[in-house]
Amino acid sequence: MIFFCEDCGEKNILAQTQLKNGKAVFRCTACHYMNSYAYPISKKNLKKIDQFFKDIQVSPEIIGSFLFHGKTGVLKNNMPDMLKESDLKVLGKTITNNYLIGCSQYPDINEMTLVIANKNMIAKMIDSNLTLIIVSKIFPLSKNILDKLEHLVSDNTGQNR
Amino acid sequence: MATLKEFLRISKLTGVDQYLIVDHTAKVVAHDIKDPQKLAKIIFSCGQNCFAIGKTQFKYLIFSRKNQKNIFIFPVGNYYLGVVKSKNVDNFILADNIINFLKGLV
Repeated sequence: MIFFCEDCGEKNILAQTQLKNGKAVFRCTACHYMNSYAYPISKKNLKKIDQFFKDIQVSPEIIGSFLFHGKTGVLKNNMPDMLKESDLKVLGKTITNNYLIGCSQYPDINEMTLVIANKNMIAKMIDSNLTLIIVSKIFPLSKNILDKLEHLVSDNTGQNR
Repeated sequence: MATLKEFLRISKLTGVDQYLIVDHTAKVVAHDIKDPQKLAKIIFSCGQNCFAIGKTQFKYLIFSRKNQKNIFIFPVGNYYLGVVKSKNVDNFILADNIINFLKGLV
């Protein structure tokens, strides 16, 4: 993949191993500046997430789902219409913040579930900026959905976070 | 109002490996953990964040971990209770046990 140096603008070609948790980490071949910045999720991966949302939405246990980006807000919204985007932004931000607080002390955290009233919000981080949130009537999720979720997350991160 | 002595029976519940309770100023009130400050930070910050969006409807928060020692956060009045789950115990069994225990204290 091609990435540009943040300092001199030189084009750098990176291997997959230089892309970690949604970040491109590399030293510029021209000016030797150490770059480390988040790269946007690919259209292909967004499509996979979209398909995952559609697949799980047919299950009666699922209320909705959305994809939250730490900097740009809600990227995909499959939640009931009664929820405004501003509500989802607050929810996504709170869930992501909590997840990051947890991971700062216990890096082996790989999932977070928030239970409010009779709603279960299951969150998985795809990279350091991207959180996938599923809202369900029951907890834990059915095996079928859990398997699909694990598959999707490992596809996007190359590992289970 | 339950006494602290009654509350400390929590350590005997099935599925409870460790516990910690913090007050509304983040002060650790009781615990049976080696490094309480590490967990106290999470319990207090995340407990407050969740309460801010869920208010009295906030039931609990679970951090699932690869080693299965999942971390639970429950609101208890002006306090937050943190519980580290034993391995090989289901999340919902522990959550049920704690919720029933807390109801029994009221």
